[in-house]
Amino acid sequence: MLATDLSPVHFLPSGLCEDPSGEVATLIKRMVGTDPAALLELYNLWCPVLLGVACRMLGNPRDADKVVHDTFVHLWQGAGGYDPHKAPPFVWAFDIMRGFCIKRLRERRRGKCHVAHGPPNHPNPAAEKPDNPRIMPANDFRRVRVALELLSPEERSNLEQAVFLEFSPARGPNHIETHMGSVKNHLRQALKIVRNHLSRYEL
Amino acid sequence: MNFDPFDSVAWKSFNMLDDDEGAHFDEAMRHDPVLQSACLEMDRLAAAIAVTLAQPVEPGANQIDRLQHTLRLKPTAHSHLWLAISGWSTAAVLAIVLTLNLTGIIDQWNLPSSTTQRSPTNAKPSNATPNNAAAATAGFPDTPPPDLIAAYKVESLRLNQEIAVLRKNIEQLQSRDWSLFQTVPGMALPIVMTMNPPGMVAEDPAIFVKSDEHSPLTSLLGDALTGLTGATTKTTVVTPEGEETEISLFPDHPTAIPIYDAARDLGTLVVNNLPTSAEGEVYNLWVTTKSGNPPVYIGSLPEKSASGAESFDFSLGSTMVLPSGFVLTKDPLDAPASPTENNIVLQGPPSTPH
Repeated sequence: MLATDLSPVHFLPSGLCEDPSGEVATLIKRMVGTDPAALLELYNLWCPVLLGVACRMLGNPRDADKVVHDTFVHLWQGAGGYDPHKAPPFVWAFDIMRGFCIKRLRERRRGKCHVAHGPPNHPNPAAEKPDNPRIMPANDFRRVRVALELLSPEERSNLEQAVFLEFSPARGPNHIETHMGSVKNHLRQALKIVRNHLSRYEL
Repeated sequence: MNFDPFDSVAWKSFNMLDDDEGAHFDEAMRHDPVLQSACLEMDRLAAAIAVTLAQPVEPGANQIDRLQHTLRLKPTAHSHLWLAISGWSTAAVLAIVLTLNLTGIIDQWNLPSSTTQRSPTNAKPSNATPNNAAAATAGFPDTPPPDLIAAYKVESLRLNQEIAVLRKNIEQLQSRDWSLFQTVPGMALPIVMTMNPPGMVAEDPAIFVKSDEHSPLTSLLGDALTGLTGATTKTTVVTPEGEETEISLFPDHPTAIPIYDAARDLGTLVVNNLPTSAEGEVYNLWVTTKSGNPPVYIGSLPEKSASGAESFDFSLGSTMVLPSGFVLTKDPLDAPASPTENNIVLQGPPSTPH
């Protein structure tokens, strides 16, 4: 098996988050045809996951609700512009939601929106965390977990914080800035290990 | 500021760039397709990690209602009243028409009755309006209701959009196939070529063809695949002077044959006689394209590669990449360097003899 390179651009296609059955692509196509049932089905499928991620990114369930709401509005209005060759459906939605989260964080920093100091945990957490194969294939969940287990505690912590935008400058001057050099070094190493493991090269 | 654009792919994804760095990165990405694909792959990774680590949260009961209200997908609270009113109105009109028909008043107006001139399939209460009745008497077909017209328009728009996307895909595939079928010296479909040490020119294919038994593809593949299949290691060739001579199918120098199927983005690199890499060194595979961009790194062979024929699978990450050549370099383990005269071990396709 060809070993992957270490710099971020020389990674190998991981094949993560694909939609092998084409189910979600079909829903998006129906949304282009303004089928409300398709939007409802997609909402029931993606909303819990996106809401959980948004809660982690924003640290506030009310802001997370608003961001997820804006995300689905954007998905409905922009379904005609979705290009399956660029990104899988869920990655497309994740990217949109992350953009709204970043925008929200910037607004907080500029003081344009009031930070609702709600409870850190959403009032409706799922009782269990089963891997939903309709979000991401079960094998991808397994591969990612195994890859993360290869990291040291510091590398994993830094990678987790980075994924959930906790190193974002939009978080404000109170956030960690003096140690970004070591953080980036840990992130480089963590990404190297994770990408190496998730490489799609197979014998 | 991080001046390494490739390193910034990760910082961009994690929103760790400030405004100036972000602007520089966006500008660099606009002109670099490799950077664009790197960004997309980083998004995949971030999404996968976020989904794996985040705890799902059930939305509130009113969230979907709020969404439907925002998108105006849900009927308003008073819409059912309008439906009821319109239904009762239609029923009232139908009752009046039937009453007038029964009492013969309609006949006096010389209007056709609904039971004689309407076909059974058209005899619906919603069609029993004065407008439709007048149109029927004039001999024109009933006009479709406005909501049906709107649905047709939406469907037409959707189909037009789909047609535009399909047309673009067809153009891309046609362009790719046209490129694939261009004859390039030293290459055959699927993309197959021999890789030799730098400076070696390709052997004249004519001297390898003793008879029609050997196809150009077989002549091209020759050495390494023959070693894998266990077939004969020697072959008889005819020189231009007409003399037959026996040569070995295994040259002494290292060779490699990349076999790449662009339609499926699957490739296999078959190497032969490649010396084992030294401690701290590794062989790296690169691909070149006709666009003139620098070689793109694909991957590295395992540290201890066998000296005999061995195959390695690889993928370029996209079915739209058409390789024009492959390069194998030998570099230090932690520092892959771009192909140069100093580190190239094998490259293909070979240059043709002058």
